[in-house]
Amino acid sequence: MSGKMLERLQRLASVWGPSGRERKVAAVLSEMIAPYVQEVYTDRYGNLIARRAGGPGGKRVLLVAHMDTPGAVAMNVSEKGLIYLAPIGGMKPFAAIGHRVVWGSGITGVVQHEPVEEAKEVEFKRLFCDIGATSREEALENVALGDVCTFVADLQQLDDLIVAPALDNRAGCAVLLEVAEHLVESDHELLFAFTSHGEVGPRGAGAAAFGVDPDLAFVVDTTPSGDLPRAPRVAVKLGGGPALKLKDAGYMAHQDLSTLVQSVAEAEAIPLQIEISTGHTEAQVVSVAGQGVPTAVIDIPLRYKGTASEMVNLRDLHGSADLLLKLLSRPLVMG
Amino acid sequence: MDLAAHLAELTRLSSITGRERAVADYLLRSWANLVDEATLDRLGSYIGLKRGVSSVTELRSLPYPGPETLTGRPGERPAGPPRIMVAAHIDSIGGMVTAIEPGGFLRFTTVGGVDRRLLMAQEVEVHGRRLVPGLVGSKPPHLTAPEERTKLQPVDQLYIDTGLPEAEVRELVKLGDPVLPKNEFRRLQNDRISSRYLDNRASQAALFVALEELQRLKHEADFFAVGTVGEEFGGLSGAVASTFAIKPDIGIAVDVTFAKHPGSESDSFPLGQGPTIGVGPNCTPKLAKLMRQVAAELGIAYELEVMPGPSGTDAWGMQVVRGGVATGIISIPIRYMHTPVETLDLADVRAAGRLLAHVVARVDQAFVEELRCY
Amino acid sequence: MLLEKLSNACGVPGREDEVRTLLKETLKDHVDELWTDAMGNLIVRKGNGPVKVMLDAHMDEVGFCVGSITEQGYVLLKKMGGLDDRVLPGRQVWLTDKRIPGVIGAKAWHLTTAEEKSRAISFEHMYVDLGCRNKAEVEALGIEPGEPVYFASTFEHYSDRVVKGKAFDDRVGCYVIARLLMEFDHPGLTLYGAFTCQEEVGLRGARVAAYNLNPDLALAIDGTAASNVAGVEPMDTVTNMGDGPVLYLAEGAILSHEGIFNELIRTSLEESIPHQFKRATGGGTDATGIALQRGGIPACSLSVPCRYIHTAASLCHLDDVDATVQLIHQFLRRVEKGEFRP
Repeated sequence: MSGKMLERLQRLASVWGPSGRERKVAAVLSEMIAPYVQEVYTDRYGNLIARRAGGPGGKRVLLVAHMDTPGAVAMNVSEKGLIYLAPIGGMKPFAAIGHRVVWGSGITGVVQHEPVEEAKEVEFKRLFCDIGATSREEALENVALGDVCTFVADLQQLDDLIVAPALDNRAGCAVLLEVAEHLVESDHELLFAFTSHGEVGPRGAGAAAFGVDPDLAFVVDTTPSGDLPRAPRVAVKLGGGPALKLKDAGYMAHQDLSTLVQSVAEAEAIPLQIEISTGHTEAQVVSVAGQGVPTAVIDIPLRYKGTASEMVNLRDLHGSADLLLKLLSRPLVMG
Repeated sequence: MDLAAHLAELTRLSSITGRERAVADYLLRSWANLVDEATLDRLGSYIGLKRGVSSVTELRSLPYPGPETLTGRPGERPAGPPRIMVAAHIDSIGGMVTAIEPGGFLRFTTVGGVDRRLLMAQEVEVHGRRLVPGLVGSKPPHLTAPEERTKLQPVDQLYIDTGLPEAEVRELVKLGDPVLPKNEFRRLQNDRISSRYLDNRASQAALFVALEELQRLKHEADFFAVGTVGEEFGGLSGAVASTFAIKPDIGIAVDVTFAKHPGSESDSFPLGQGPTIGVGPNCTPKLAKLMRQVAAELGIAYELEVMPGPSGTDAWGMQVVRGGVATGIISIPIRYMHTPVETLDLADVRAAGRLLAHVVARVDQAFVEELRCY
Repeated sequence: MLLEKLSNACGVPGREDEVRTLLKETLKDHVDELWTDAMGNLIVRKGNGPVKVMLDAHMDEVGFCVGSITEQGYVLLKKMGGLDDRVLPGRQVWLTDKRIPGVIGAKAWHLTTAEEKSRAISFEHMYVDLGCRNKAEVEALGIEPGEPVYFASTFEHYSDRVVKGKAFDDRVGCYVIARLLMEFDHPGLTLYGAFTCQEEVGLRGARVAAYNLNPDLALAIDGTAASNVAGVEPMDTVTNMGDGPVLYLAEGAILSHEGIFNELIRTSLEESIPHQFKRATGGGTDATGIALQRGGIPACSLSVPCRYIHTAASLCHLDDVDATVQLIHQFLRRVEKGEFRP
């Protein structure tokens, strides 16, 4: 396993980039993928797209990983200088209480909740961020209304396990970078799309798919694993390898493409988990772009989604990259 | 072909959302003589083309190239005859195996709007390597407390018992395999049918009637009969993608609606008294008017079905593809929708098919240009 | 006054004819071209400049349609768009484009039980009385299922600068765009006014208009809820009538387009035009639908704050309307001069 995956994760997990404000992370990704492709551009939606030319007989393949994370937007400021928040991309109030955050302006703060008697009184409307301002004016000088904060925390490694914020979906982005670096033989024209608004909708990937007009697509994302007490019943665990998603709350896998992915995993002895879950992915909007795009989702199992300490297993990232590399070196003909 | 026999075969086939190949292939075979050419698109929808009288359209010229330079101005229609697309979705609700547990019991999830009230003790078919019959298991009555009996269990606490040992189950069944209610197609009195999946196989039957009628009619328009995938769940993917490729002037969805029975009187329509014609934002007024005119001329009884918002049909997706499509909805009333005993009257299927055929035959260049004039 | 005519005109989702005709009549001599598209959107074009800008406002209002007619001659309704049941009983309505009068009755208070007195009347118990004696009489008036039903409200001035009327969401947006087209020229732009359909049932018409026009950028102008009223804490008012045009921080979980949002703020500060932020994330406007079209279109919302939208009578302040017109005009000038690209 190359050491670069961890290095990439380290860099990507610490870049501020909530849904709709991805310029900073796009700039980092652009720099990281440039050596492996012929062209890098940003489309009108704000998706970052990197193109690797293909050869005769190849297909046009879109590879998607959303680059945004959840955050909380500054909605209102109290007279005392506390910044009241609204969720961007599914941040949950109890996941945010007590955490350090960083704003787009660079200012840091801590998120807290107004005092309540019982846990069930916790609601997003009563969350606020304290940046140490003592008045409304002082707060607004440092953080404008409309700015967004995201979790900030160090990446920690426990053998193969990585703990950090933003692994959903910077882990997916790292996998695509790994594929871009290591793919040697392929006639296919590849479009690596690091998409915007993955945590809201999703949205950006639809615009990317429309512009690219691919023959087929692979989405790399993360999925909550089922290997915790009282977790929703999903047959996916950390360390079990990449998961092929057959169904979620808005997407049914394309039958022929799923069969192809499974047969390649089997032929190459890559452990592949099967995932049927709830949640949403880019596949929902990519598959209905234009005249329709057969799309498969390769998920990285993840624990503690939406918190400041998400967890993945490096082996699953490498397994996902491996599977894609093997797929892309084949003709990608469906039965 | 006998309409009831056609329906019996259509409902026998397994076609849950995402796994529609069996029905798509059936249409390719059984409608081959009724259309000029047919294909399956990239998502698996069936597209059959019956050309207008002097048309030279070919399916391989789809999708019409984009990005277009059209701006929606009238008079900017692409060259060629008017194009009408009729969408009848070929996918149905059902279930999907999510786990095989010790003892060989199967866990499953639902696909689409499955009626949870009917799941307990339901006989099902698991479509693995072969059809495996099973039962949705439940706690025996003497172990059930009185207060439990009025509550429904969440689906993830239900399981399927096939009666087979675990090793054999693992040979025959894998994760993702479709689960269907047991097939029991029945002919009732008065030319009425009861079966699973009349939503939406009844519409394929109606399309079949329309295609047969169209063999006898002259029509200027190119007629695309589309068996769309992905309607019951997912985002009307089949309708949206096929409309994008075909770029029709008119898109009509044929689906089912609620028929009256005790306990279901409002927003329901009488069985055996014809199809419904939709009115509302998803039903372009000039098209609805044409449908009503044609029905009146042919003596086809119909009811107006008011849909004040999202129509719950393929037409909702078709209407906003690209620069917009004029849409309409024709529905066949069925009782007990989304249960294994859906019930319809074949007379309604025939009437819907006939109405469709004659509406198609009426559409000409002038009508289609009129559609943009508001 | 154009806002008066627009407010009084009737147009529920899918039946926007009256509003469309009024706008066509009003604008035909002020624009280079106008047409309608397959969904019924009215598109007007002014100018032929290199930058294409689309200004969107929806023509439809929330209202009802006829669901069914009872044997005794009452009309049962279906809602079109979001409506709170509590603002409906005791209202006057018009049916069809012939404006046949009817009333949504309510049982005499004297006859209600103690329990009923304090409970809101549920929509399923409401119906329209036209004074007809049976179903045949209703049908003879040309009323059938699907026909539109509107609040019968008339526009009036409460004061010099505060006006009342129905459907300010979004006739006020239509009014703002009409004024921009009639009062100003922006020769550096191809300026499209897109008066769109069916926003209230799912942001529909704007999507196809945006697909067709494929502009370089789009602004969606709407009427949004203002709650600076009695009993609401200043922090909770969301927007304030009288404080100027509203910029959206986020719609649902979706942040406003960064470039356009920042430029609108910069424009209002530099030109001393008041502006405020919508301090809640509920609701949605055409901008979110427009943004997804083609390969993505830079789109942002801007609204006039109105009290009591989605009821029979809303209020708005004409200063807010004027400021909105000014802000967009100054923004467009910056776009024209090349000072801003999304």
